[in-house]
Amino acid sequence: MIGRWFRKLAGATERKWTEEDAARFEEEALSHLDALYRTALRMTRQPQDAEDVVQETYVKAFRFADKFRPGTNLRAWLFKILTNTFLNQYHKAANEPKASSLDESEEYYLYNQLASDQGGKLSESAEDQALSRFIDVDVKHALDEVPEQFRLAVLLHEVEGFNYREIAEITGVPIGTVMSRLSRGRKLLQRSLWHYAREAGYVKGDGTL
Amino acid sequence: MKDNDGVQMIDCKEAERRLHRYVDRELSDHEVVEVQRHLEVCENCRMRFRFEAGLRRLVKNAAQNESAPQSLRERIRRLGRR
Repeated sequence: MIGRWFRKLAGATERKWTEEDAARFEEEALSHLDALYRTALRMTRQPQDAEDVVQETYVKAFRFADKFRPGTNLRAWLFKILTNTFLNQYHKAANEPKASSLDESEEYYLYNQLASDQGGKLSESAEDQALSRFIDVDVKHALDEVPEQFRLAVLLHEVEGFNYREIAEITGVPIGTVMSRLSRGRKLLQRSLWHYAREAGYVKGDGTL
Repeated sequence: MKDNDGVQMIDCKEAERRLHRYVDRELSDHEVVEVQRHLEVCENCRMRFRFEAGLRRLVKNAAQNESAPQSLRERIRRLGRR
């Protein structure tokens, strides 16, 4: 049984939806639920807030389903709604960690730190060992410390696999801005991971493994 | 300078400059070939590229390991049927 949102579309003059169109739209939209939820969770950092953002995203998706052009990227369209919903409802600039103090950090910080006392280069086994020591919870916490616009770019790219152009579309900024946000996000994430590695004792004070 | 196959040779600095876009698959085909040619002969860059790719996977695996609660899934299904 398809709901009210569909009856509105079935009466639309521009492009009438069949019941089959609506069922397909609903099914496909739901197939992206886990991806939308995990992104919302990393952005809000609170399960209840993440649920609220995701629910609101679907309310809007059904309400504005006629704005979606069949055959285009539904996943990107849903992420765009999610991003706008998050920014409108949860964006509290004052509570955000500031990037500026960390922003001067070098590129490839983590590798350089880990390699610094190994002649500037890690062996394959040392690389694998270093990466295998990070557990999911460290990585999630490290991500949570990255300011939101940089965190969002990293999540959309690294986790959800959107390309630069798609992220530009989702977040409504030029591709150059996406690239700079990704670059800064990665620098900050590497700093943050290094901090966790030190705290957890994965690396010694002098940086050795 | 070009090598025997006419591929432009790039140095470590240029390879590093392209590292993210290479791992992100955002380089043009000829830029990719130039990076690959450099990685074949430069172990240092090869290890650096490998590490960055490994780090991407680490982040992906950690953040992907999360699914929506069943109660939310049911609420959203009901939304579609309202």
